[in-house]
Amino acid sequence: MKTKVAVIRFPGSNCDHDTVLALERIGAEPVTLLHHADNLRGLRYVVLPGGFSYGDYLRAGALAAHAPIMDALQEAVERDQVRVLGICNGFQILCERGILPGALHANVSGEFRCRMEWIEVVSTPAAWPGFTPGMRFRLPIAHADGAYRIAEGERKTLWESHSVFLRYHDPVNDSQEYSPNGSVDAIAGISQGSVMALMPHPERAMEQWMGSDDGRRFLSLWLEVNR
Amino acid sequence: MNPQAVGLSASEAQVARQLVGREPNDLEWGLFGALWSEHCSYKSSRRVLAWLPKAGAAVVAGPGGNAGVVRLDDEVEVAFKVESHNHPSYVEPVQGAATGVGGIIRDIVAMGARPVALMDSLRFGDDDRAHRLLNGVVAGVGGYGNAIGVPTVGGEVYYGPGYDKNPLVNVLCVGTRQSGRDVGARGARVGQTVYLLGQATGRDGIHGASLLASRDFSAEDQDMRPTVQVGDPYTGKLLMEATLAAIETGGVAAVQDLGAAGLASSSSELAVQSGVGLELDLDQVPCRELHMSAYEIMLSETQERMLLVFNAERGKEALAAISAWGLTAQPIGRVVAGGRYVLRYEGIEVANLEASWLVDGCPLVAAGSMVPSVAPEVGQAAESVSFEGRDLLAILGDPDCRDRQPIYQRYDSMIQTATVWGPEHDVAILALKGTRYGLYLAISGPGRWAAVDAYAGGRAAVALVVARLATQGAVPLGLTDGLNLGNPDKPEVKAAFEQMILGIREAALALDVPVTGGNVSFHNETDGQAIWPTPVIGGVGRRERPTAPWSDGLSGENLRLILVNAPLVPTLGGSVGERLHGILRAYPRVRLQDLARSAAWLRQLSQNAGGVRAVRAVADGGVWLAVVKMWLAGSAGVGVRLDLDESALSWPRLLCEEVGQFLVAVDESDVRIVLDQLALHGLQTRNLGQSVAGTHLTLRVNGDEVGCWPRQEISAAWRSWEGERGGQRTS
Amino acid sequence: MSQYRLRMAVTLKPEVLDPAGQATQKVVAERGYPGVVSLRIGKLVDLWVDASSAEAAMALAQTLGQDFLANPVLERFEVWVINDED
Repeated sequence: MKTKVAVIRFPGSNCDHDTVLALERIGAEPVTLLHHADNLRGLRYVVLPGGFSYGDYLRAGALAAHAPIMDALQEAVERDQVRVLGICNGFQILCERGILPGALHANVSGEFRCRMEWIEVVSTPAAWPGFTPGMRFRLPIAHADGAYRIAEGERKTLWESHSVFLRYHDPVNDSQEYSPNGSVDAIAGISQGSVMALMPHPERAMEQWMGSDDGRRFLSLWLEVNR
Repeated sequence: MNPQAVGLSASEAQVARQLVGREPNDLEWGLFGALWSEHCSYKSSRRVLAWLPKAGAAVVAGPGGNAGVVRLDDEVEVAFKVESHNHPSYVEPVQGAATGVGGIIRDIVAMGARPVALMDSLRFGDDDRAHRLLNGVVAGVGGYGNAIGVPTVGGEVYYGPGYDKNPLVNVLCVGTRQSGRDVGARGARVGQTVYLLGQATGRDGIHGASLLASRDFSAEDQDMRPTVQVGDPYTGKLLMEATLAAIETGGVAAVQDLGAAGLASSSSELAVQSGVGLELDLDQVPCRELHMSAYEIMLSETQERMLLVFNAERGKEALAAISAWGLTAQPIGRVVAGGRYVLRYEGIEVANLEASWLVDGCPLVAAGSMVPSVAPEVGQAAESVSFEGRDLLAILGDPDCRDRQPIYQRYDSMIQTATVWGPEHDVAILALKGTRYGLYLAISGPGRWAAVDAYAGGRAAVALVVARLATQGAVPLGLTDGLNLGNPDKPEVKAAFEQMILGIREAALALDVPVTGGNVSFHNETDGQAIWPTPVIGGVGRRERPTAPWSDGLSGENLRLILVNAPLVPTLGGSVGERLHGILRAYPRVRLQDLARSAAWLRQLSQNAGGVRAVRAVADGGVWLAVVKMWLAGSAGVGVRLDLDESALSWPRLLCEEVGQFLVAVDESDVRIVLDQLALHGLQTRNLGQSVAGTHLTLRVNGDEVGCWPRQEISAAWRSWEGERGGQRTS
Repeated sequence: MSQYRLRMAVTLKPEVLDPAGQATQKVVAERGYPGVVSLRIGKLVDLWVDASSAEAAMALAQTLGQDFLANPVLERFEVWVINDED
């Protein structure tokens, strides 16, 4: 029995199709839900895909955060601990909605960045024991607003609550301080309860010829399936 | 109205009057001005473009439509075209480039194809403003392409003095469609309704193409410019999806995107191509601003709009598919018998012409003779120019040679997850779903090589595209040409244009690849200074097994570096090396038959690469840059030893940019076999050196060691941009 | 010399399309905020200027707006002095 996964499509979403293909590649059954839906059809796994939504006008993710389906998603997370994965724009939407703390700010370069990066698991999310500290993934980033920001007081809480899930990693200098976008503490992803989100794109790293197939491993761990 | 105010010459105005049989009214003059502009009518180029070979086994649709189409296999067809947006990008770099990307994407969509890749070809001056313009243009290309979700998988950028006030922004878009899904502007039938879809019409860019892009620039244009069009990739995405979904239903009879000259050109072209008349009710056109005149509505260049006609059988389904994407198609008129083109506004008939007068009535400029110019004398003077080690590092850091990462990392090159090779390579490879063939893309537009001898430049542009495809063993299916020049009324520009086309023609014929469409941009000339004639050629090719590319990096030691198809007497003409000494002579005329044989050898070899471990096509920076790029793309722990010993020819050998030469790295044990094969193909070779254990690149010329550089030094010289803006790595 | 605080509002010219404002307005309307018929997005620039007089500070800001902070092709700007009490 294949696991059904909801992939949310907002107006202007552009990584929804890639996410559907990636989920099919690891044997899941993706179901595309539209922004105006008022429920998740009982699905237990939801991906907010990357790319853009509503042109990322106003702020990246800000308009999608107000779409009707986000009401349903928030309720399903609070009531049923539905498993949510926010990729890139999905991360931005979750922060704009207030489901995850913090915000994604413009890259310090002031520019869009598309390239491969290494990320490393910092702490094991409570809902996903399969991700263990020190585990590394090579995944591409593609964003203009990926610098994670959080109020100084909340930053401490974030670390203490083991919500810092992923950090960027520089294998050449084995540096803990490297970040391609200026994220505080080089944070690449966070997790809280049944929600996790990251800026890199696992759905773009599904085959060796894409430059990496670490995305298979990442998505399989998220979906708690063995691949 | 004075017809000169809309850009018509006195004689053209006279022709228009004769066609109409009366004095046209102001709106009609506006329509003639726009449709008969250089940009829309191709009046100076059409007869010359007819020289290009357009037939080929893979061709589904040649020039004339929104884009050329070639067959990838029985199931999949590829639509592709290059388009320029030079003038708008000078006026407003970000929006000019963004709307250029949006425009060519709509052209591909109007062929019923889903855009799968973009490439950009950019030219800037070498003055202070170049950096600001480049920054804006890159932001615009990336801003639109990234947001609409089409990967930018490659491109090129070059610099030269003539581009100071005439930067070039050419964009190639490639799309795929299911075989037989042939839409376009030809299918409208009497009785059907014409719909307008997308952004509401504003006063944007009125007469932009007809006046801005069809005349030379001068200082006073700063105040004459119309409201600049703003690109809206979000609406563009919805429009693209809605249009493709509508076509998918089978309910679309005809489709035409709105670009230059907006509703005027799209609707009249649709009428002529379908062989019908149109009656448009302009009161029905959704407008963004109040009190727009018929003139403004017809000539507005508001972006993100599409004209659609639906058939009776499935039109309702098509309209429903559009609604599902949150857009509404607005009926604005109907298709009628005959060829009459009638516009009504506020209850009054405001224009009544034959559509064909607008589309085909413009008097065309006669073509010259089809005789290639005599190759300019180049002499031997520059061959005696001497070089030192630091010159070689300077060549690596030359703006025409250095690493392009600061540009391409601002483009999303991976979205749609089909990119096998992206912009860090000389050729892009896409692994598409639903076909075993990979799609191979290359672009080339050597202004420097056409500066003195446009004929040589035209040949070289085609040759480099074919050569780059050959490095993967890909078979070229078709070419698209983006031709950028100065004012065609000047004899020297007209001559350069004709020579460039002849060069493209000769190369396309010799290399057996058709030209299926493209774009001509004249008037790239400000205050009397024209650009170098710049032929931008884009090409698509195919090969099986795209997910296993042939390497372009030096992967190990003990590989022999061999130059394939080496010229007997290499020249520095047109090269970066020569320009380093302040000289710019004619570029050599590519030996097309030798290139054809080299490409055939590579294609044959690619089936079973044998001992050939890496391949690169020689271009800018000559053999030197090809070796360095192959080295840096390869594994660490490998060094290179180059040894040139041809006395006076050694330096030209290293820096000659003649296209058709290939650098190959061959297993030492297979060298003999490979050299025998090449001799059998009648190809000249030169032994350049080999890969060794180590971390250095050593160069010996005529017995003397010129340099011995560690990898970091060579890498830093090629990535010369790294220090410019405080480094790219941020933390 | 004293320090003046000025505020500059950079807005798109009214005839220029504002895709971001348009998309935002649409979502605002869909989410049930009545009566918002149009919404356009611009930039706000705060300046702290050392100058001999408020007029001199304004003059500098005007020049800065024309040459640098606003794009004359697309935008226009207004600048005003802000009092400390604001």
